[in-house]
Amino acid sequence: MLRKLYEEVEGHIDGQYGYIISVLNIVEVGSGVLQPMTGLAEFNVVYQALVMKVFKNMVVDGVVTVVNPLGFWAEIGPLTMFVASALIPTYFKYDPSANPPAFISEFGDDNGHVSRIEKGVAVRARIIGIRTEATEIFCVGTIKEDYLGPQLGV
Amino acid sequence: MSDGEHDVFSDEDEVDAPAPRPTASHDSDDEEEEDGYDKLADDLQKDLVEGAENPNGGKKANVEAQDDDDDDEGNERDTRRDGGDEEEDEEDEEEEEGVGEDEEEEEEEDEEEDDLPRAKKRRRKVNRFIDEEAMVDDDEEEEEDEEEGFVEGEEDFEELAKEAGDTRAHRELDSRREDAEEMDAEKIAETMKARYGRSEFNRGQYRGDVDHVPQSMLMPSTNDPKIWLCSCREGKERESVFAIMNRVFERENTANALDIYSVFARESLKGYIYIEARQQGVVQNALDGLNNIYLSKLRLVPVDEMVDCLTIKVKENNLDKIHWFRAKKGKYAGDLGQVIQITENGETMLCRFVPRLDPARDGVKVPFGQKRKKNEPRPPAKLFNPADFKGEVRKERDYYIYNNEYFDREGYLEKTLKISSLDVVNVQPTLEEISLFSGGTSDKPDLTHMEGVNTAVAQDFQIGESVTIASGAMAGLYGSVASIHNDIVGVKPHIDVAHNLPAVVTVTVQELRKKFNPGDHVQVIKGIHKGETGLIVIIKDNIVTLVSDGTMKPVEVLSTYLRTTSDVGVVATRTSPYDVGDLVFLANDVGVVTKIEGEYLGVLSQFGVTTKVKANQIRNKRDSKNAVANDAHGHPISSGSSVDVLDPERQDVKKSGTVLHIFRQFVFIKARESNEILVAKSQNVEGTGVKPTNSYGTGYNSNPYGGGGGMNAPRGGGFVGGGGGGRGRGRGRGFDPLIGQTVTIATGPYKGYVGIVKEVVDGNARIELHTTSRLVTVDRNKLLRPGETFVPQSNSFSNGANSNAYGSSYGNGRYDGMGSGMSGGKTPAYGSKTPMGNRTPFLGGRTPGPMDGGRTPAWDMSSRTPGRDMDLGSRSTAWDAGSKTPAHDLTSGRGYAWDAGSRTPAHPSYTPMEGISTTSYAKPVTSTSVPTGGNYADSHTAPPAAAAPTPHEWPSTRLLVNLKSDPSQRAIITATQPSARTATIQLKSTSETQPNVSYDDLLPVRPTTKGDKVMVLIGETAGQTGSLVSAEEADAIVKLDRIKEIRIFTLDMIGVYEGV
Repeated sequence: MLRKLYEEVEGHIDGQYGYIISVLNIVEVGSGVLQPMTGLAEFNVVYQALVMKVFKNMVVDGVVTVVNPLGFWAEIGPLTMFVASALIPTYFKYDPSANPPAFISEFGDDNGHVSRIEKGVAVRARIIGIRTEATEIFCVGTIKEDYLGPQLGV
Repeated sequence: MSDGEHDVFSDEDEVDAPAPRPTASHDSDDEEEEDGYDKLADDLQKDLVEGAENPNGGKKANVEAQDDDDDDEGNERDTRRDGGDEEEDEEDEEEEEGVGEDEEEEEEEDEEEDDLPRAKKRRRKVNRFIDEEAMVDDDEEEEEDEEEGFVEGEEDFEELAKEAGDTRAHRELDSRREDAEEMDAEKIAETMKARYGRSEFNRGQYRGDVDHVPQSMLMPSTNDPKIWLCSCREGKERESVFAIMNRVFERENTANALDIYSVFARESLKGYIYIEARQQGVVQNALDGLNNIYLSKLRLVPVDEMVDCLTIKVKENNLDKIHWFRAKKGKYAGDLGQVIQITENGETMLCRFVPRLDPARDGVKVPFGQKRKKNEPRPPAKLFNPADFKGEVRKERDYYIYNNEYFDREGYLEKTLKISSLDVVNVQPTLEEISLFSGGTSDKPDLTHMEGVNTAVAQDFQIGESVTIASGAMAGLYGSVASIHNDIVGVKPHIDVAHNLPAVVTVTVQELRKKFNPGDHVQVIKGIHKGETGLIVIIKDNIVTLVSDGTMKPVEVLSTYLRTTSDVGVVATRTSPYDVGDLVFLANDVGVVTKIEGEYLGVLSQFGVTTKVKANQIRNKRDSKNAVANDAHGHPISSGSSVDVLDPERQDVKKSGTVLHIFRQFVFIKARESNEILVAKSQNVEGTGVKPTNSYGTGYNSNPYGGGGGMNAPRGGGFVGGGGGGRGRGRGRGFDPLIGQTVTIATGPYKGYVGIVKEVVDGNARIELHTTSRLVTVDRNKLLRPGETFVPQSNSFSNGANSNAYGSSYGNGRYDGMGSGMSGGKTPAYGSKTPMGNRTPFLGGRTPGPMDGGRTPAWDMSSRTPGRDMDLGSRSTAWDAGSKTPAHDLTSGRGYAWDAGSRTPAHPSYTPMEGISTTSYAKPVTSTSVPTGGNYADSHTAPPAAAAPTPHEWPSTRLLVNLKSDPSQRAIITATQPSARTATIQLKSTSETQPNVSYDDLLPVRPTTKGDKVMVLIGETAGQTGSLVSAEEADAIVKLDRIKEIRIFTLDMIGVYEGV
């Protein structure tokens, strides 16, 4: 039964709580009630779970997965985020010739390090819009603000 | 100074008529102005007194008020006008008089503030001025005092007037004025109240609400002076008005002074002036003898139209805001245009179009009195390119001038148009149209052009949507939509900004803009992205970029096209299974989809008619990649071929394009330049680069039955209906090579029956029997292709091909089988009907393969081989090559099978089987006898061996030919050298003899006139001579000399023969 629970809820999305990442603890298993006609039993299970629910304006960290001229995609745990090129600071320029393709900033920091947004880079972004579907959560983020963007040393 | 005169100019003044203010006559007014209100009041008082003194002149009092400087004048006036005017209710007049004063006063104060022009003209509406005065003079108590005094006095005047007690009135007025001056503010207020209250009471019907005088109250009535409309010479309106004014001044103070109230003209009404007067006689008098006036066309303006005379129509459109418009008529009707500049008068504007030029027609002047056909198709809109019109284009500064039209550098047509001829409201241009104006090249239309173009309509909004007010008095306010009534939307201000605002603010739809925030999930409700949903990424003014849920691509849309939504929209996949360029079958027609508009498809039928159909009216769609047709020169064309379309009526106009589809003889072509889809008959197109068809060899190597043919043009044969039994039948059905073939049923109840395979389904073939015309279904394995069971009797025939299984077993077998098959319908006589047989070998250019190539490889071979040879000129090698021999073999077999009659003579040429050398051509007869068997003997032996030219080498002595190199040159073949494939010719023009002219350079001359001596060039009667009995289109009836028979040939088959 527990296995059934795990199967059913882990990795799924609950409208209220967002992503249910992992069931941590089962608090109580109610008594089973047989469903008429089917012979199946229905149990009411109270459990604690690790969930992930993002909110608008939340600042999240993620990992870039895809970079294309339109912007880049990042994974924030189970959910995917898209940051459109318009929401990337203008000093980041898309460089299609780079391998992998990347957004490269036009200037470096004090150490001459030029920040790049490319696959695998950690970014911090603020969520500006969320769309929840049955099987995934998709959000749109921006890094066009202070302290957002590729994070060093993460 | 008469009242009327004064009115003339004062009206002018107010109406803003062109006449400048005649200051001289207005001295008094000006003076008053300068002297301030006290003086004014004095004057007015005097005026009132005058009024009191002259009750008869009372109705003119408002005017008199102006010229009250001297009291004497009043008397003068009295005497002059005495009883001349209609008597009116005195009381009424008195009031008006008072009002008139007010009006006058105000006028003086606010000279600049031009008020409703007609106010002055009609007396009743003076009420309005009281109203305004109250507003204007609010803080000028002094003046109010005075007025009040007068009004008070007004009442007295009535009595006084009745008593005619002048002096008393004067005294009383003076004292009142003093009183008034001494009054304190409170009292003033009281008196004011009293005054207004009373006047309201007194005036009853004339006076509406003090705060708000309805316009209707100010309407002229029958009691007012009348307005006459008089026509004058156009452009002279102003002048006429001045002339009348001058006349009025001239005659004032004379016996025949003009009693005219006003004269005015309207800018918008050319050729007319208005005169306000009480009597027509006065008007006539005033106009009499003036230049440019057509007195005969004097007309009284009905009372209810009087208002309109002076109503200045508020312009419906703020022209500044027009950026786009649509032409209403002409060549550009419905086209979108862009405004460049609006001329000052606001009636015309400079604008630009994407030109629709038709070089073929534009230059041609349409003969006078002859209209261009209305239904002529419009030339496509395309930017002007001066290079296309070399020599016809002048350049003038930044413009190109072509055909008297101006084109700017970018190729747009610039025109000055009347706004009235354009549609400027509700233009709603589409993105595509607008993108034409952004250089025409941009793949991505610039939405900024759209801004402000597509104004919102009420339907775009929903109650509860959040909106901002973008313009108007409430600009900047945001909130949610609370109500929608037509174009008026009630907006409930957002809580943050709601203080001091009504609960609901009403604004027009045009002022509203939808409000979104980045990250909102929205759905596109209009436009090309309709149905898509996505998250908003950027908002810039009213252009919103969103990331589509489906494609994850950014999409730019106007905010009015969006609506917040919670559900994930169905990503607008194409709802129609059809796409532009699809070949579709309708109930009766075949067509190609030319455009898709929602659920409607534009379909260009094979007859060139474009119809709109719903997707469900389409029966099915097909591709025609295997269909082949022959172009004007007999070259095969298939989809993908590039062709030129030859217009039978206009040889000079050539459109080129790519073949999209072929349906029978109809060829659908996508024009290269305009990208439009055309339809033409195959004989009206000309292949420009013949698409390489499968070579001979490939087809050959593939599977014995279907393979070869199938590869070459599997469906083509069926489609185009090459020849034999396959024509038209089995079209479109399948790819099974069996279809269309004549077969014999080997076993079963139908054993021995011969029929044509119509359809093959799951290994079963449906066969239409020759005998009973019934369809029977038989296992396809039980079918015998003609001759299959026979031991090829003509083995020797195909000896050369022995190495090739195909050649021997199939080809030959085929041949044999034909014997029976043939008898059905393929008598030689019919030969002329099967295009293959007749034309193929002859025409050369017409690669016949595709025509029936679908049939079988063998078939293909036969037809193709000679065709190719003729065509390519590389014949000798190809032909002679030993390796090719098997092909020949097959060919002959096939030829028999299908086209026995016409084909037969071909055999001789194939004899190389036996001896591969080309010389064998020279003795065809021997070989002829070999393959010919049974039934064929007669026809085959018919060709006299000696005379028979090789069927593929038509040149023969005494034949009249044209030189390919110079078609105007005619020559006679004097000798032939078949082995070298050359001929000796003698030029007709010079009698010069040219030896060794290749066959390839010669073209037979087609007979045209009855009685021409002709020689049959190909076919079983090749080499025979005869005379032309008649020629109709492509067919010629020829009486053959030798056999004394009349035969029908196609023109292709015969050539002019120069008898010895």
